Amino acid sequence: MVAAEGERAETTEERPEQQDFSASGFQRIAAVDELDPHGQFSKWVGDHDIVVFRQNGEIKALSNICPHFGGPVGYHRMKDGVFTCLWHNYRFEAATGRCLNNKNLCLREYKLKVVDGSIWVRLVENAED
Amino acid sequence: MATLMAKCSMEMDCPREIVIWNYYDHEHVVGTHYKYYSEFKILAERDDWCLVERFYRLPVVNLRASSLGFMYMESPNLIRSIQHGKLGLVLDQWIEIEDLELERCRVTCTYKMEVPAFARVFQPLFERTIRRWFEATWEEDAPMRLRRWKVWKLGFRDFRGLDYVNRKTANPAANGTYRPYPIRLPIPKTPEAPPGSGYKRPFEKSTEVGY
Repeated sequence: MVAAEGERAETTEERPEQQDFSASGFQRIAAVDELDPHGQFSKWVGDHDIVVFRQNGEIKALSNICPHFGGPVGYHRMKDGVFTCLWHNYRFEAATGRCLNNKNLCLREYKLKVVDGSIWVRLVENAED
Repeated sequence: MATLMAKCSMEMDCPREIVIWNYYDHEHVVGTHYKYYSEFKILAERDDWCLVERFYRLPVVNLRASSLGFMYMESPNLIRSIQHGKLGLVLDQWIEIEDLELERCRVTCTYKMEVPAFARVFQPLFERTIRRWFEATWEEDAPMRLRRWKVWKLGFRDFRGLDYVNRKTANPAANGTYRPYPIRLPIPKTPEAPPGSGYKRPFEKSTEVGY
């Protein structure tokens, strides 16, 4: 069974290595265990830097690249549902990716699956322009 | 009079323009260097010169201090920063940035301070403090410069980010290769901060997860 996007899988009938997620654009980013001890981590997957975090029991993934100058949004541990970018203290709402300093900026949310202890993210959703 | 002096040099895997960008990105001091800087104000800035007031804590001597600094580009490879401290002392900093390869440069900082003759005994302390400061800030600036260079090569645009990330499309094949970095001064400031209003660090301590 594959968990719904953004939800945690309670049981799995197939091992993740038996499933071809890459065909649907998903790539494994990490084991769920890597969320410990801070409840978050960031990692480059290909040309995407992604911050994965747990919020209200749900695992989510946002772009870790601050659209201001490119700083790491998830450098500091999330506090009160807000990420503060290391470089210039731009603040982003974890639930939505919305920037609290500049309403024109927003972090992309990545579609995510959690299967049998592994976290998978979908990097590409749309065809080229 | 006597001159206290210190010289530090390090190399980086990025073009010198990225280092210049980093020096002129004043706003990062209360972000990237939040452990040292508590506040700063840009009093004036145009093209390659600026007048900035900074409040910080010095390593080794562990003293809170502030200075009024004037910075400009003496030449394409040399930044000069002249900082006037509250005690009337002036720190003259020469920052030489030379390209070694296409994506590698060397930064050499020379610090000089004129002091009364009797104060020449402070030369070892001056050198130790400056060296610690240089190393501590370098340790925080280095990942910033490397990351800036990396995202730039991936096609990053200020206040927009990466188009392929935002549009959720595949990354064009050309992204990630060398892309010239045109340095344009001054560095764009955060539009939500009124000029001269100053910037304070939002917190002094944090649980750092890391890059």
